Amino acid sequence: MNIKKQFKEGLITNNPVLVQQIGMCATMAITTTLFNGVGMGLSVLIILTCCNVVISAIRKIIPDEIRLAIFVVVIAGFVTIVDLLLQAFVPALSSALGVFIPLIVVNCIIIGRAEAFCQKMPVGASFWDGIFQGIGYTCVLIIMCVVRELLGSGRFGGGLIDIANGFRFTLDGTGGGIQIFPETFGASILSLPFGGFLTLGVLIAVMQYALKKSAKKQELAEKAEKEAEE
Amino acid sequence: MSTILLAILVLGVLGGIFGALLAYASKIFHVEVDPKQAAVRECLAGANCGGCGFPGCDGYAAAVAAGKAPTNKCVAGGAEAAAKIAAVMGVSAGDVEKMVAFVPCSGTEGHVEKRFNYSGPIDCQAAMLFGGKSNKTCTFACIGLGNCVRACQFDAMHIVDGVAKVDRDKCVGCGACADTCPKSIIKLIPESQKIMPACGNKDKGAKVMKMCDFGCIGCMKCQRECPADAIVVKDNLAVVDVTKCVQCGHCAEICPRHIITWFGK
Amino acid sequence: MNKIVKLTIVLFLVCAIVAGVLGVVNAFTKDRIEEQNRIKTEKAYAAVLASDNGYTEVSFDKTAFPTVDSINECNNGAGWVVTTTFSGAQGSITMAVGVDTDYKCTGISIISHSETSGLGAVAASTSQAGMDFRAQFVGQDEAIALTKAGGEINAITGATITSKSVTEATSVAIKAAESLG
Repeated sequence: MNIKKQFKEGLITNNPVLVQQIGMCATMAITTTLFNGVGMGLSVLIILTCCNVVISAIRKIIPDEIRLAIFVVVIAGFVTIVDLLLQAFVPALSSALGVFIPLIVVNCIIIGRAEAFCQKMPVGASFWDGIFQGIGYTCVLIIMCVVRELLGSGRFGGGLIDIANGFRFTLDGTGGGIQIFPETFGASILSLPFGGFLTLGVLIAVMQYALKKSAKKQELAEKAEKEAEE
Repeated sequence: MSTILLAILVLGVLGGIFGALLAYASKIFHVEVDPKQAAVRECLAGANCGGCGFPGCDGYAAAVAAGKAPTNKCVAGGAEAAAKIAAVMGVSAGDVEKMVAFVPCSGTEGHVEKRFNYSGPIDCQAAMLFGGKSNKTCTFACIGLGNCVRACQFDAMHIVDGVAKVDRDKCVGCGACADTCPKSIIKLIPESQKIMPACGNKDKGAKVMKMCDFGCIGCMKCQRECPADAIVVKDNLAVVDVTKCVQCGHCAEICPRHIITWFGK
Repeated sequence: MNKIVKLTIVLFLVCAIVAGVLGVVNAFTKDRIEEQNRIKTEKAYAAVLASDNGYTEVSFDKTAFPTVDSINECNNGAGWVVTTTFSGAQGSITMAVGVDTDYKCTGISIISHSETSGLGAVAASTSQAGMDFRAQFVGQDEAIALTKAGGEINAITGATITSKSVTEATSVAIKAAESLG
């Protein structure tokens, strides 16, 4: 597994949310402000990478019958650690994400990658897989947050960016964001769960179209190559 | 410190209990899996095309491991798979005759008489329900609505000018198209057989000439001139005996209707 | 037998190790988390009745006031902050009520609820309608009631049940503070 290939896969061709279509529950629920999205994305990235490394490291000594039980214990352990750390150091994120932090334990992405990838691959590849899948996930979250916030309430960077006293990042969730256009012109339905479904659906459609187009392009290129050889 | 020890004890004991439970359950619910079956399964292509005649790759692997199936049945995997399976099972590999699909119809758009204009679900079975047999006057013709295209998992079937055509490079000979054709006109022929009349019409010659520009009229010219007596006309239709054909292509050259396909020519 | 022993030991070890790690992390973060929680509740209390040197929880007759969670006396003697959980229109509402030494309400703040957005939720929202609603509670005593019942509180349009619940809970909170004697 080379790193470049894993990078492309994690971000685009095997993106967890848009292509594999796992881990969508949290994606739709918490992407209401940029602060939530970035926070959740980074949390999942850290947990995913740690779990991938540990599970890959012990993959040879896990008996097959208790494989799932061990996965869940390890994942729950890391999620609890991250939860405790968030409560202690970034309580605003902890209360904003609420029940979705414990829900990371059963987030399909983490168990899915553990089952499909780390069981058979060495620690190095699993580490990079965790990083890139996590980055892919975070990117999707950021796009969804930006779209939903902007079109829903005319705001950019809610909770994360503050322009009251010059531009700065607020890591405690208090930033008001930049109001691009007045809130009354926004479609507030985008801030509701329905908006999450809608935005995610559109994003998946766009990604599938792009992938199909690029696959067709590749096929035509291969055909042209074949004909050139003949 | 005591809370940490308590946590370790509680979770550890809980884990131990569940470990014991799972071990006990795995003993009770144990299913004997023949390791040979897994090894054979690894040799297969994994397309689950059913070309071997067994329910999917797992079915064929189970049959081979139980000694109930020959090692050369996997058409998609071909000779390579047969050799690997034979190695796993410790027997010599049989020869795999590669088969490919063939559609015996040349009734392309503009060259056949139509009975009616069909405008309905794009499905050969549905078209048959409406007019019986086909929308072309020739009752042996390919309807050309693509059930076989949809059945093919290897992108080897395409509708060209209203008739199904096999891409011999991509065809693995699984027979899915032949099974799905509602008129059962698709045949599987050995890939080595390069001469084939592309027609299935058994009507008398005069009738055929009205229905189709290409159809076989049963004139017997091929039968008279074949050096190997490999092609005979039965029921007004030229039929090739693949065991006798020497692939000289003479019949294809002299056929007045140009209905005999000569692959590779 | 061997398999059962092996699986038991493996799962025991994995769980024990994870528990150990969690225990250590917990020990490190416990104090900080407690501090954060304390800051959070003090912020909520300060919204209704400011106290520059913190609050102390005092005991009260729980059986007489089942909906009251806690009464916290302001260390600067300004009064009490009473937290109460009661049922609204859609579910439970948790609220903080400030009560000064004259047993008059200094303000209310809704901590959590599950009321309908746009209706009952207005009671907790930062919109003008919400702020106006809550402003009515300042200076009220235990006889507080909706205008329909002869009192002075105007209910939120379309959210009579929520308004009634909040009003009644405020009255109970003031009575609880009075019961301290």
